[in-house]
Amino acid sequence: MPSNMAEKILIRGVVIAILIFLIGPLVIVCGLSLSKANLIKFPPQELSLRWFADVWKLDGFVAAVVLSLKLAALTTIGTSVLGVMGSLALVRYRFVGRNILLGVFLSPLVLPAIVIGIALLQYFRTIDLLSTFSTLLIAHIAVTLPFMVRTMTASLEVMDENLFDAAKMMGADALQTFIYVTMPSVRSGFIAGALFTFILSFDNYTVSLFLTDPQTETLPIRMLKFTQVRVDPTVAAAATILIGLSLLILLLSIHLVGLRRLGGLSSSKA
Amino acid sequence: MATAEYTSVPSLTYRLYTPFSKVLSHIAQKKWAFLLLLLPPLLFLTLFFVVPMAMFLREGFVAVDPHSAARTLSFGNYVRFLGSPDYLKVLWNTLRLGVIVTFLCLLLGYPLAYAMARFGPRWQRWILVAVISPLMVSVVIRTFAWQVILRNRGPLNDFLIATGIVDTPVRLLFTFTGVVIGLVHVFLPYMVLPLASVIEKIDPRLEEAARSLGANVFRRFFEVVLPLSMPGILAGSMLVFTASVSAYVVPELLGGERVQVVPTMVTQQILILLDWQFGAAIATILILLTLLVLALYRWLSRRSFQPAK
Amino acid sequence: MDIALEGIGKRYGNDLALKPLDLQVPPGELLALLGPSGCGKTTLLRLIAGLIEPSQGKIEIRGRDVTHVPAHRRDVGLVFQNYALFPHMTVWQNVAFGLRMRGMPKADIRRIVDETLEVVQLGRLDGRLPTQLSGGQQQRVAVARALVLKPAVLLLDEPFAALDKALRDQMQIELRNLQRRLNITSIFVTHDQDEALTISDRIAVMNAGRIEQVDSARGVFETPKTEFVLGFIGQSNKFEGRVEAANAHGATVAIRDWRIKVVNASQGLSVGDKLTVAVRPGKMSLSREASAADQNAIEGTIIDTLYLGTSTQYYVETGGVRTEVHRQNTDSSSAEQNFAIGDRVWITWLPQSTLLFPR
Repeated sequence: MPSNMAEKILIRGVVIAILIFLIGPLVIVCGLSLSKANLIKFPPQELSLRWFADVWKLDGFVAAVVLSLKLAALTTIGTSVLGVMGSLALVRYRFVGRNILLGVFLSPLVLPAIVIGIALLQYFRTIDLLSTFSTLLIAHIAVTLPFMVRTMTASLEVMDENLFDAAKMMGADALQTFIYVTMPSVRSGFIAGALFTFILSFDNYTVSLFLTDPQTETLPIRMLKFTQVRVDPTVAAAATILIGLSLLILLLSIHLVGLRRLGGLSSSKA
Repeated sequence: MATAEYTSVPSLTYRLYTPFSKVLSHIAQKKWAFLLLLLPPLLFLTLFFVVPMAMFLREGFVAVDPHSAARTLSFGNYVRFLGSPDYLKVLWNTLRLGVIVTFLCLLLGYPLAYAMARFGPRWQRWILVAVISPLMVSVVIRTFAWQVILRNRGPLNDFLIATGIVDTPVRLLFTFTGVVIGLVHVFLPYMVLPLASVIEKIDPRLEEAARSLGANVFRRFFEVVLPLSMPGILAGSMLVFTASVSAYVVPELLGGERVQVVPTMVTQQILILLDWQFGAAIATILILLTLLVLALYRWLSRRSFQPAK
Repeated sequence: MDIALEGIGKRYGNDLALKPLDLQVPPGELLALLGPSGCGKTTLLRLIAGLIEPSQGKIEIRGRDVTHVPAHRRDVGLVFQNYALFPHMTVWQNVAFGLRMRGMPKADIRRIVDETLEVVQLGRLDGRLPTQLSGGQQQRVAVARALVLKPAVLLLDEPFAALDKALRDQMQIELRNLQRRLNITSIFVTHDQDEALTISDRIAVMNAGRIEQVDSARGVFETPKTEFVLGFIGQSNKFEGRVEAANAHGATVAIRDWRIKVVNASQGLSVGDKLTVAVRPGKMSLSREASAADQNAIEGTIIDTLYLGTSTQYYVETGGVRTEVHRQNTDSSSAEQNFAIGDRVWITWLPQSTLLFPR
């Protein structure tokens, strides 16, 4: 749209400024972790990696990492299974109330996380049958399920219906069709959904806040407590490690699914 | 059977699988087969989402007698909230926050979305990475970053003082402005991505045609690109607004007690003041607000697709 | 009979997609199901394939009642309109799929798939993905995939619809040759009458859920049984007529002021019957005088001509009705026989070429 040099430079400059706004805070956190002095000051005066060595000593940090990883892995499995089952039922079969049910599956997306968290707190207190970890797992699955359903139903809907008939003609039964035809066709959507679920669970704060107890703390909750107690480079180093982890997952996602698809853009440019 | 012409013997795994396959095919033919797929996730969601939500929201319609602990149906909580100017101020504050954050996200997000759609693959790639990577980092870490940056002796104030823009540190932490900044940072991707998706689908030749007809940059934007990108603007705005009014972490950490919004108030009422009923009522109001915005979005979307009269 | 349908009907709620019909296909025949969109031809094909269950009637394949037998055990192969190749599998894997699903050992699969790919001449391309193939190649993969299970019957749903014109002609001939070589009973669905006329042994013309006529190409063209078949295959000139006289050998039908003779054949006409009289443009000739008594003749004025190289089309105004006459441009059409706009001419044809339909 910009037609001359000045316009071009102007808008590109604006875009870069906004990008700095987006990325800057994360860069600053990483920069803080590299400062030699025991101060939160950016830019750091002298550089050092010493704080990274102390990260493991942060009280409860390692336990929280392990817990969150376990939780995220189990959530991904649970949400994947339930999400695929639900999506298959919603897309491949015709029955009364189909659209309403789809709305029900997607409803957690619309409701404030804070309300979901508090409601689950009350609920699990009333039932009082399950371990804290179990309640966390259930909550995470409940909150990530709509994303998986949304992604999977979209992928399933664009599948060529004749593929199922072709498989039927070839003698494939329901399970064979699922393994050899359905899943490969929705592979990208499924992987995107699974990766997204993992990240949502690993990073989840608001809903988890109400369900953790001192013995069972997820990483975001522990991290927050660190930042409230003392803001020092060790915490920044922990945050930097997590940022690095997120970037790794991002790279993995880009490799498996493609950058455009991650951004919700159609896979072929119109 | 066709393969009677083939005389080879099926493999072992297949022969073991055959009886299971037969049972499966028998079930798959039944009318109720789909329930086997539908019920597990549906039951899960009902048991662990619908029921808890219903139970909780129901509390909003309950009044508990402080002495006898008797529970009665009542709208008292709503009356209390909607009747009090202080409480309404909180609601107003929340709405104000939502509108401002949405507007700023639109302002900042549109150039990014446009650049992503129009500047070529290299720009698109880098903008996408810059937009998506914050989404993968926990909101706690992002908020921590802003806590550091916005402090009186943080990098931002250092920079402002060093360049002479201000003489004394600007107070940003625990202010409304600080919350706005934090929320814009968190929700900007939710505006950029739907918007970029829509802008990309606009035929670039339309802009070229407008240019060849003599329209300058502003007219091209306001009369060609902007109207056509309206679905994306609506989608992004809806996402950002509902997320902003429902946000808890950023207002709590960057706003503290000085910035009162509905989500923090709900938490306060329930966890600190232990008034579950009142908290539930406020939460219900928040949900109604969200649903209202969603309905408004749907209505507007449908309208903008009607042919112009 | 390889395929025998008896009283087959299909209804969807109140919609009668197929009215009870019978059809018999002898071994080795290539039958076309021809008709406009919505006539039920694809429904019928899918019914034979086993993807749809009939609401009534019986289907037999090679003497075996398969009415309630699932698709994969019916001994049929189906080629889909857009081929429905599994996009994530190579050509080889697509063709091998049916054999894999039946648990055939790998070595046997390899041999059979390679053989089948040779039959459709795709041997070199077995490692390609469907998106890397041309339309014609994709179609051949679809055919190979259907044939690999050695079915008794091959079914094809508008197999050439997705191809461009030049490729279509070539693939039609290829299919015909393949079918003859394998001598496999085949049914294909099409809405293109040229396609049906070119390659099929017989054509089943369908309309609104009914089979109007099953006959060879010559049969549906020369002796259409209903007005629909008349109109769908080739062109025709239609007039309203009334029987004036009839006997065992023929009848005289009045079309406005003219009297034309028809060969009665098996029609059982009586005086006063109202008919639609039809004559194909290619069966008509033009002449400058009313001709001999053994030919029918009507008079008119030429209002337009269309020179098409091999033939010329004349549009003649005959008492308010526009009649089309097609004339081959052979050398024997001498100069004085070149008709021009404005000429008064007589259109003549043989009584045997007159087609009659009750009104």
